[in-house]
Amino acid sequence: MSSTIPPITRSISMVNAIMSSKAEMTDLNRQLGTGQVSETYGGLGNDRVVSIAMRARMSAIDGYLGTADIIDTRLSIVGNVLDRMDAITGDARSTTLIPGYDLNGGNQSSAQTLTRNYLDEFLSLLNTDVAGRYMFGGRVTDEAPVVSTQQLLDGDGARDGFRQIAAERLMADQGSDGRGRFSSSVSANTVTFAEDGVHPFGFKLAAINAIGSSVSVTAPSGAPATGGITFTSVPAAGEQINVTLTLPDGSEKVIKLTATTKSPPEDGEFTIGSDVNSTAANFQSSFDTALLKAGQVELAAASAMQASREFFNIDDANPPLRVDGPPFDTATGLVAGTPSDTVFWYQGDGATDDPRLTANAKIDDSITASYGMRANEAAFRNVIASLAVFATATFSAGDPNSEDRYRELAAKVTKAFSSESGEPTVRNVAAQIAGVKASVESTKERLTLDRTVAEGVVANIETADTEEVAVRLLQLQNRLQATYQTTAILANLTIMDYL
Amino acid sequence: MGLTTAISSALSGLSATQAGVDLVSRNIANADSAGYIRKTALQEAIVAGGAVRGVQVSSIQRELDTLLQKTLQTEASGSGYADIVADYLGRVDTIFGQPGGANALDTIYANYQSAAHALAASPDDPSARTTFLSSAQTLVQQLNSLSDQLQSMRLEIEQRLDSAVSDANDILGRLQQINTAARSGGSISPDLLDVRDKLVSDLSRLMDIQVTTRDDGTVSIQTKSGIGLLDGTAETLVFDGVGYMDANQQYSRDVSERGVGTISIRYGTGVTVDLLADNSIRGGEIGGLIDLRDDLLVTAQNQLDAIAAGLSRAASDIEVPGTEVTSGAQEGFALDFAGIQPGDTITLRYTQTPPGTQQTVTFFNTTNPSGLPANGAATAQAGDTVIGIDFSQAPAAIVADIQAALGGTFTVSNPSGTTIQILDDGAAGTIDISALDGLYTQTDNQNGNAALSLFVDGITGTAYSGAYEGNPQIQGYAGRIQLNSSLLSDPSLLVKFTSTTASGDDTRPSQLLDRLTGRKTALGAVGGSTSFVGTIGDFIGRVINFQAGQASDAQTAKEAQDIVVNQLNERFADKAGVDIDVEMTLLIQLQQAFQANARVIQATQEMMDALLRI
Repeated sequence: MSSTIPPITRSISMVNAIMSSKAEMTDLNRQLGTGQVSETYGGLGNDRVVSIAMRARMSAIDGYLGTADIIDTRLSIVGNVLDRMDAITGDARSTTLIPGYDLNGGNQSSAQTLTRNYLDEFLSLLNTDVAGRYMFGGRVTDEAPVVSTQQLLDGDGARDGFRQIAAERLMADQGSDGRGRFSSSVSANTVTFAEDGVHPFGFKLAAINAIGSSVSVTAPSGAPATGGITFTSVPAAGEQINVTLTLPDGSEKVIKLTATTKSPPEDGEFTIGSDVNSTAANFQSSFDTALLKAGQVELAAASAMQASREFFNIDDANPPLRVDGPPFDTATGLVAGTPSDTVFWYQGDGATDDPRLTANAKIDDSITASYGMRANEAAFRNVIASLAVFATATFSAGDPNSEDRYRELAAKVTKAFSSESGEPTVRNVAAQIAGVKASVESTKERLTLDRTVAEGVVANIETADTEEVAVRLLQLQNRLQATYQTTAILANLTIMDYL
Repeated sequence: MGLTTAISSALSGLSATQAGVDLVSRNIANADSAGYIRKTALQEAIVAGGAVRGVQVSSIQRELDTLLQKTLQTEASGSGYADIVADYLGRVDTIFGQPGGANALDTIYANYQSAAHALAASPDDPSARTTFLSSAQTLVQQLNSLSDQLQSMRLEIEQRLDSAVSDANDILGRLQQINTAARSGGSISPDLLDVRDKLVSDLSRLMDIQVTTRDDGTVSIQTKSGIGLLDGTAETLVFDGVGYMDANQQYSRDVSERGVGTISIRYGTGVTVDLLADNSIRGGEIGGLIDLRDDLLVTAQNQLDAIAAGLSRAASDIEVPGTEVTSGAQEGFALDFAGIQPGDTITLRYTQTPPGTQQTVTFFNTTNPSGLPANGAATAQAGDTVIGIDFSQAPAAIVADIQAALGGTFTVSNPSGTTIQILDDGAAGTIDISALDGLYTQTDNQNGNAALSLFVDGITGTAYSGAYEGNPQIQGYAGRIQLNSSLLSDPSLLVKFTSTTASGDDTRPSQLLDRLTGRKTALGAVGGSTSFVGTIGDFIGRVINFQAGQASDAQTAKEAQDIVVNQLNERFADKAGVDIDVEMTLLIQLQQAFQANARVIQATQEMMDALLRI
């Protein structure tokens, strides 16, 4: 280095120092104004790796949180709806458990009117939408999943509703003579039972049992099934003959006739005749009376239950089924209803996969909330079908079998409202959805916490500390002032002034 | 000794001090002139007949440290390079946006991902669909804009190269004139030397050069690689710049493939030497511009292209796993290749025993298998063997090609239709096939597959499949990526993968979201030779970090270089610069010397008068 020092005003490093100080001052000023350490990622230094990663994490969390918020709202609303549905189911069960037979001059009891109201409410709950999204239509979320009660029960123009479908089924089940497409005949000492054809309607002969030694049984066989009994001797009083008939809904009706000496016999009895032939004739006559009554009571109730099953249990693979007719009373088969002749009560997604999987929301890298529901899943369908059956049945004060049918129907419906059937219930679905909601909420909490941490880290890196910047600015200002002053003094210090 | 001698001595003193004053006045006048080097007069005694007869100015000396000057020239080229690179990389850093700012690429991507979340949560919601599409639109527009900005920077660089080359030619021309003047005069004046040195220093700033100074004052200049630029006469540098720039225009030694300008020397004999072909210019502003145009900005573009390709593929990939088949003791897989697009791949994984290592072979669909890069760069996947197969051929020919590529240990066949079947060697057990998977590109949004053709290539709307027919499709894709216009006219396609898909079916949006948030694929290299494996969001972060790091490194390098150059300049100025105070002091000395000499003459005059009065 040379011994001379260049004049301060011409020293390059001095000029640079002043310039960089000024640039630093401008930058500090910007930091104060914007609150940001840098305007580019490059300006953040090596911390930018953390900043970029944390920002990515924050935006990922924001995405999940946004979804979780939406889902949470939906689940809250749906949770309330399911609770209400469960309450309706409970109320309906109490209503049908021991219903009063109070027709009051009409053809329906007050319990039935109440049931109709429950049906209305249940259907409208299934049409719940959250901000335009229908919650019970599976993947079809932009149209109401179920039709109105009016349409469902009474049809819509050319399309038949449940009432009509059930009426047709009843005709097919009962047959023209009301004996449930079933007959009994007597020839000498033999009584023969016969179905009228191979079809899903009416009574089906399942079994014949005799308790006592006077009767030989011909077990049911063939299609249509026939069977019979032959009195080999005159039975003693108390001997019993049971004929088991399967009803359309799968339940059974046992016609039980006990031998008696009384004449005429009471219900459930037949008069012992003088010989086997007259006993056989008496048995057939008593059986026919019992068959006719069963046709009005148990068969009618079972027919309605089965009709509801065929009408309500629908999806893409299974259209509603109705009696192939007219004529209905001699019909021999079921036919699939079409959208032009039958009301399809469920308009939603008809796939047959797990309903929960029809709506999925990713709420964290590895957590997916599945909360879809379909109105036609068993839990909802069974309740609607039972409500519809009970709400549509009509009774007549003048009909001696009417009250028995009413009790029979109420018993069947009550069973469907409870979990005895082994099928999932509304309460099961509500519990599942509540579980999903709990998981969404705990995930939300965790994500919010994560986000706060990430936010803190980013703020530490990117945000300029006002106090620090202000202090640095002040120091810089002092330094610059001192430099300017010294520079000015030195610049004025020239030999020319002293010549 | 006589009085006359004294007068003549004093006179010589007067003229020497006059020369000194002249020099001081010139020094002072040029105190701030660039390249001016302080001159001093060397005085020596006039000796005649063994006696001192007076004083004379023997030479004008330039106060110069030549070693320092040479170092300064070298550092000037480093400084020219560092300045220009820091300037442009700083701009690249800026276009990626402010951290967390609305225009930052990662923010825009985050918005797109959020919109995908919202779409998956409410597939039926028309506003979720529109928001998703507009966020995708914003994302591709940002990629287009980033790509455009990179390419306009490259075009700007092309223009700057043009003017830098013409500056260099100008300097070389003027140096040639000085050389001519020096040669004809036999020597060169110190003032002309100043001009010459300034020119050489200016040229160093433009490019890295070697300078040889000869005794007669002429200089010869070569590039660092030894190509002569000036030796007696100057060569003319020719820059054949282009007026339009896109990502496909790149430098190549092959003139027919070169899409950008190059710097060459056209000799009188008609021979043209391309200076860029052998990296003759590595430093200086021109070296920096060339590095930016052909390397740094190309890398940035490649990274954007990889982002664009990753985004496209996340939506449009159709993953088709092969089905296991056996034939006797042979086991393997069968796979249907129907729907394979150019650039789509089929991957075969197997274990080779011995040594028991996992091998990956990628069959790459191209009509021109020999056109693929030899190093497997056609796929972003690292560590795989890429084999080009033309799947547009008849199945028998495809089977034959695959068989030929795999060799006899495998049994390749076409059991039916568009199915290929690859079996291992059965009982021999030297190979064990573990997978045969297809990765195809969605082209029809209602073919029943959840993959979505969301982005397309260019306004022609062709699917992006990473084809390798001529120019690789990925090259410049960031500038061409567009939103599939059929989605804009019918947003329900975001959900409906068949014509009957229910409006609330989240299959398609959920798959897209899963791929954005969870699928880790090989996306491309960022600052290393191996491909980055991760989600697109991770990749974008990596790219931003890389570019920001490069910018801040360049800035640091520039600042370090500035310090070096400034210190050298200061030292140089100490030696060679003009200090007014020194000059003024010298002036006083000269004034005193002049007064003294004049006094001698006056005294001699008085003495002569006294003598004559006697």
